[in-house]
Amino acid sequence: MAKTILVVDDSASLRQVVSIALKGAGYDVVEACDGKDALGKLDGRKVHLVISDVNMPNMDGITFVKEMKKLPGYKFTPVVMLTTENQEAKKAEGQAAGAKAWMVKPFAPAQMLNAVSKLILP
Amino acid sequence: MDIDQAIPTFLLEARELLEQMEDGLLQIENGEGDGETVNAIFRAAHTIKGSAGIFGFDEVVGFTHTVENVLDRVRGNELAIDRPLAELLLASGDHIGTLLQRVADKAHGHDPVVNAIGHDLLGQLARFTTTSTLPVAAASAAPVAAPAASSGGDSAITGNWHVSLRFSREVLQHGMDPLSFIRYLGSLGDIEGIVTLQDALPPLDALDPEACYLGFEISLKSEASHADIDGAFDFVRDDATIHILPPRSPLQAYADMLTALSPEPASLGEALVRCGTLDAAELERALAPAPATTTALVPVIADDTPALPALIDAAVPAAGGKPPRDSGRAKTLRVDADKLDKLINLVGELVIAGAGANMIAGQLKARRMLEATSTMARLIEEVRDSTLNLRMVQIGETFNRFQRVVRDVARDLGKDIRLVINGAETELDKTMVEKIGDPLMHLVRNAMDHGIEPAELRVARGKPAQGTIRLDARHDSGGVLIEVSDDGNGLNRERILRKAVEKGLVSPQQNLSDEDVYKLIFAPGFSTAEQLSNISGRGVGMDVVKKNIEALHGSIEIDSVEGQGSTMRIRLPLTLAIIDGFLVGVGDASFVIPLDQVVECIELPAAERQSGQRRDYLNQRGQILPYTRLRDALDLPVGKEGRHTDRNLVVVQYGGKRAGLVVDSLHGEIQTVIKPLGRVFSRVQGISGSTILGSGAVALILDVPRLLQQVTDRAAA
Amino acid sequence: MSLDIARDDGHTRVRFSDELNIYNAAAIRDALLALPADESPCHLDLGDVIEVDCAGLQVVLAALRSLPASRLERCSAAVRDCLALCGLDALLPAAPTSSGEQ
Repeated sequence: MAKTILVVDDSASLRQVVSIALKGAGYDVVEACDGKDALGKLDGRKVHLVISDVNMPNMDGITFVKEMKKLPGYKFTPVVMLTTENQEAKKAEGQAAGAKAWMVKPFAPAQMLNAVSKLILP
Repeated sequence: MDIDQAIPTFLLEARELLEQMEDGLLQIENGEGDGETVNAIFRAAHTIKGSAGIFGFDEVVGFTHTVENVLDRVRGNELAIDRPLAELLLASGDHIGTLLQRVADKAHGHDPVVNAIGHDLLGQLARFTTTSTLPVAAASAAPVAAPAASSGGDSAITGNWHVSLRFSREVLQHGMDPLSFIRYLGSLGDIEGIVTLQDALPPLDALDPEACYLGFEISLKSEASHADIDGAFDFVRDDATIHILPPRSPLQAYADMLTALSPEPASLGEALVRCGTLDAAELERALAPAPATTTALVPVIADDTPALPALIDAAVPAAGGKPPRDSGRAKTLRVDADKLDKLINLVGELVIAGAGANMIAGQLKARRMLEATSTMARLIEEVRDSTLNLRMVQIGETFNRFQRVVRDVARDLGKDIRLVINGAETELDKTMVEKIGDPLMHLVRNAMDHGIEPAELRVARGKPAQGTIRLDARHDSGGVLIEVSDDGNGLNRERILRKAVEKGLVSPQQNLSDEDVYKLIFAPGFSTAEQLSNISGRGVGMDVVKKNIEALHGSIEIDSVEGQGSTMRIRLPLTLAIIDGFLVGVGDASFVIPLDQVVECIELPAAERQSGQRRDYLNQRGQILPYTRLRDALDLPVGKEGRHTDRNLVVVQYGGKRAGLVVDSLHGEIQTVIKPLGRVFSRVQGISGSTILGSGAVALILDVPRLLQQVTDRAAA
Repeated sequence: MSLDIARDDGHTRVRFSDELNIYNAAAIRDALLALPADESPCHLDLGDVIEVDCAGLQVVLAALRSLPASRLERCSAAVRDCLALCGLDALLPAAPTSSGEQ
């Protein structure tokens, strides 16, 4: 049974690249364009991993993670935060919210797959 | 996805990383580096390789990969950086720089020279990448954190890595499953033995189902590098204690790990035997009391030390994570100037918004609100000052450039001239410092060329043969005063006047003060040098100098005594961005006068208000004070009758001159953000900028020097 | 996740199905603690478990230590993978039979 990854980013092109890479590696992918959209996708379906951008319109990644951790069925779902800024404060905030894994954009698809495979294999 | 647009970012980043790498290597060469320096160098190479990979810059990736391998071995204490290796790595860094330049130049195909250099370097690097036991030169900079005692070089037989994992109780709640990291390790090689430690696991009724109790001892057969294995735990660093021991580590390293992890090293040691990392005899030898620990201290310094092969104790500090990239560098931070400008703009908006809040609080007469807004206003002011301070740099760097210029130009001119600098520590806005360089250069050259006389003439005039040029800077009435002075000829009033009359700039009948005569040299096309030299240009100088200074909201004036020398006095505001202002009203319009140019406000005597009684000057405490109605000076339309009270007179000063400006109303002090003038206003004399008031209305900022000029001119006429 | 508790041949048989992970580890622990406290052997049937994580493994390991004469009875592929990964193959039943797996 393929593992499902929720990809949350306001950049459609990034979602597309990430999604193509993940699907190619054998994961199922659900896409969301911001935190609000992503919460809507957490509708009871099994999600094994979330990959989320930090800066997004409507609801940012950190708020999204905080909200997600309140949902009984998703409170232990691992999260990889994507960030372009090396802002320690942002990172500390995100870690306090429960996002322990960070990846700095940009990254090669292979790098991203390698990182994801540390958390879940397809 | 068009990733090409990210290439400039990559190049910039890579160059910075190369600089860091170079700095680190130089530190190590000087014996100053430590383990963190080595880490930083490694990460630099690692990151360059990584990001080059995204773009498919294979040349960069390939070469950097080898460099990274060598550095990885240094980081793992398998190799120490001695002088030859440091030189090789520096040369390798240069080569990476060359490869990056090829990327920047979009160079295609192969450059035989670059290839040959790369090939040669790779050949040299290869000597350090082989895994065979190389003698490790124990340079003083060997990044061995603590010289661990090796049990007489007794190492484990195993060809496997040993990975020991302990997790925090909270790791599961953070969404991390320890099993997934072990699975990932399995993808880097073969897990030939693993022991799951259940000692900490409580009975079922005491089990917190969301806490992690398990630990793991793993024997991993893998060709992967230390960095790759360590990388498996990137996401769990804060939640795990990780030990990674390379194949054939000294027995002491295993013993140290066991001691660090358990109060009963021997019983934990059984797990190492069970997973196959050690055999029983090795464990026994490892845990046997070390014979004489003193031996460990000596070899670190001695050059013929037997190798300490592969002593890696990668005990990752719990809070370690990634250490700051620039640790060990000076406590300065390079910030993109655009980011700073954006911040300053935002602070500007904040100042306006704060003024708006304050104004509304005032209108509402809400006392507590007013208190709150004034506290906020004070804080905003501090934020503003600190922010502007970020842009402040000392003028010294610009001044010092002139030492070289004066030396060279003096030699060309065959004159003996020295430069004396004062106030190099005076700070002003970075933009100003950059833009004032050229005008200053011109003035200095001019002074050397036309100011300083030939040595014979100087001696004849009773001056020292050596001429002196002075550059002085200091803070003065809210701005900066820069003086360029020389002890040379001084300006020749008659010659300037003759020339100006020739050029039709003035009529021979005009009775001009010395100051006005000197100002003529700023007229376009004016040049007094009887002989044009290649030093001070073709007479296109002084008018351009003046224009450049005025573009910075500054002014220039001249002081000169014939035969004794001249002084060019440049006044500049501290910054272009924000000023403290005084808000006045004329009819419906609002104007801002820079606060440091306001002397006082007085009521215009009733007699003066009669339009028939316009004398345009006042007797103020025995002094003549010329004044003008701002409405007239700016040609403002006359509004409805009765709106013009002409009640108030604001006394302004600039550069030693004073004048009064008649306005209708006074509104008090405000902070304003200077916005550049639109095209429409750029030709209006007397206005230097605009600003938005808290109410949202636009106010124009008065160009006091220009207005003063108008007033005093008219008074003199 | 569902637990199916049956008694036959003088032992208690607890049958796990679906997921055995952090989301239901607490519920499983509580169900196991609620088993009648007699001395009859307890067999844990993991043949229908499709997913197991560290938290799930811990509950099983703790149960094996705390419940009298307990052992694993059937193990699904997912459980066998997990045990093998952790070097706990010794816990596998002598003749593993699996069901509910592809």
